[in-house]
Amino acid sequence: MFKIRYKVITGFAILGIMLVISGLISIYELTKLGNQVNRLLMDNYRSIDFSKQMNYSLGLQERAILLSIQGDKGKANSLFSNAISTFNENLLKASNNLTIPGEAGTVDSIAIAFSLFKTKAEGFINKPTPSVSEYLTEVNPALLMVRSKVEELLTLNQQNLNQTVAVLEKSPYRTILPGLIIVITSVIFTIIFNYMISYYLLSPIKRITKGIQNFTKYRRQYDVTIETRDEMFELNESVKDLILTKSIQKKTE
Amino acid sequence: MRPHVIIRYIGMVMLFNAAFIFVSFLISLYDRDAGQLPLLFSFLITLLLGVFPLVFVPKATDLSNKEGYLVVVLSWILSCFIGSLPLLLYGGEFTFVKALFESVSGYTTTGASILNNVEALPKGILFWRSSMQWVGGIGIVVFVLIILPSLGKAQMTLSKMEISPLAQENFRYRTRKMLNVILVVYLGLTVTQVILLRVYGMGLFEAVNHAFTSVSTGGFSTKNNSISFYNSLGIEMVIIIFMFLSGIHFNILYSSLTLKKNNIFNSNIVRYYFFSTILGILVIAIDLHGKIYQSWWESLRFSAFQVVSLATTTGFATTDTAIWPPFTIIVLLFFSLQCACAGSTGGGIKVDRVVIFYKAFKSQILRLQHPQAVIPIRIGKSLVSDDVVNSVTLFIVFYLLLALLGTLALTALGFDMLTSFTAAIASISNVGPGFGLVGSMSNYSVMPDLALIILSFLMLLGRLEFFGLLLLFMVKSWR
Repeated sequence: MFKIRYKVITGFAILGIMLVISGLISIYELTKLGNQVNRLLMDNYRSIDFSKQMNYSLGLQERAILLSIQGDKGKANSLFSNAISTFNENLLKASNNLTIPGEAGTVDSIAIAFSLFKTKAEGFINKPTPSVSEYLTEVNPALLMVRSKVEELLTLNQQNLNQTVAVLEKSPYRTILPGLIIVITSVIFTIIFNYMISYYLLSPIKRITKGIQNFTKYRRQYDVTIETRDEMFELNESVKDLILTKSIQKKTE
Repeated sequence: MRPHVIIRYIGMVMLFNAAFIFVSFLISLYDRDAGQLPLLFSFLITLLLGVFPLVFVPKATDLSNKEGYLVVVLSWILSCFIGSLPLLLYGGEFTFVKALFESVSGYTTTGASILNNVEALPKGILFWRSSMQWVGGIGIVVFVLIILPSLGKAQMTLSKMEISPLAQENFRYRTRKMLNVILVVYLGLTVTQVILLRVYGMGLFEAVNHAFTSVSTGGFSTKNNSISFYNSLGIEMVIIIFMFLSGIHFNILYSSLTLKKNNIFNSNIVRYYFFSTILGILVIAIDLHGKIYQSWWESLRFSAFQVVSLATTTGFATTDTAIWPPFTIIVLLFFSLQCACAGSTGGGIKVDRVVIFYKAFKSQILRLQHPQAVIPIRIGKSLVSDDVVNSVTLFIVFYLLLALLGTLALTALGFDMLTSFTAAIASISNVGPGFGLVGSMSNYSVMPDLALIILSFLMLLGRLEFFGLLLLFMVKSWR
């Protein structure tokens, strides 16, 4: 049987471990939440940034086409090829950053629409005398199609960002809950611990005290029994021995 | 009443739970999945809660009936809370109420789930779900009694409180032998099923999980589409056989294996259980043929699986029964009410009670014709006492009353009649799937928190056969 010292130490140790676990869980949940927030925000932010860059490069491509209509072929070609490489670079980055359902399809549709536009735009710029009407009927609709697809990607990520914020509003509750449950468990444990201390330590002391008082004041028989086999039991046995010795002494006197 | 002694026994149950959480943790650790930390933390908490009373409270081998009842009921309730801990710490789809619902559904072997995507769970958590059902199958306190051999008189008191009184009729052994019979049959069925599922091509992890949940007639699967995922006749046949066997009184199975008299061929109850199931399969197959399935083979195949699944309170699915015709749904509802034999892992009213009720009803009719006649009620050669007949009648009435109250509560929360009634029946009988919004291919995620709490309470009431749990609310009886 365990000694009182070990019982009390075990009780406090369990309480301590529970609080440590509660703390660890809170830290783990907070870190997890922090990482999730960071990852979700960064993923969405990146995609939004890539979309903006693609839109900006589409603006430059449109400017190159207008320059070609004006007759400035050299400047138009250089601007167009730079803008194309910027667009492709951002499209590639966007296709490597797929984080939302449906994003892959949208990125694919941008690539298809852009390929169509690029073919038409290159043919148009390289013409000796490109006309405004041809631009408006052939090239501009293809450009608008690419723009609308890029806008679609932008909206998709912005919507997801809003949803993420909505989820994050509920997250503190989820983060606090496990720690809270362990704290509640610890409180229940403390109550049980208190009951055990009272039942196995304080109550025997009271019974032994009352037994001794009854013996000394009213000469009543000392018959306190202790169910545990710890120091309290040894104390009770010692008291019994003492009383027995005293009784024998009295009788012999 | 000695609270410290009750706490000591509950502590043992907690340690037993901790052992299973630890095994789940090891699986998670091996798989390096996201279940590691939730399972580790849950293991530590459960271990600490279990160890403490053993350190403080000295061994007590005697228990009064009231103490025994409280140990059993509180062990079940606390186990359900502890069982929800790994799920809650894991997060995902689990909120506090949903994790508790899943845990109650696990321990009571109901098999109702709130999960939309079971396959997203880490392996450790999946194993923990199945373990809860396996432990709950023969009763968590019975399991502890089997593991701990020297509990003296307490062993008898606790097993008396945990095992259904009707089931005890068929155990003609001393407590220790009875517990050993349960263990041998339970382990034997589980191991054999794992081997057979492996033979038919199921992976080891899934075979163990499905064996755990079929032998316990629980019904949790590791797949979103339950058994229909495998689309394998061999796997379906193995599961049908083991669900059916797990619905028979374990002592009758043991006697059959050891070639004793009281075997499955001599038992009136098993005969009724067998023929009623066969009749149900045929009637449903006839109704399904032409309406849902064009071939007789398909009608029989799906009918057999669903009838055995519901009649044994397992709840596995190979098809969506929500689209089946109304007549079929009514027949399946009858099986959800009747369920399997006493002394098995199945829940519900139980075949034994249905047979006794029918014989009592028949004798009452005969008594009207011959008022002076003495008409004894017999099951096989054994005479059924009036006390047993009265308790059976009371049980059935109380059962239906609770199902009605559950239905009322769910309709008050805005659910349709079919969903409410079948969800209440499926919970109180520990079946799992109902019809309507909670059909075999759906889940309970549509239910609000209050509905989940009501259904959890019904599951516990059904598993503990009402009176044990209700005793907890009668404060006067605590003294």
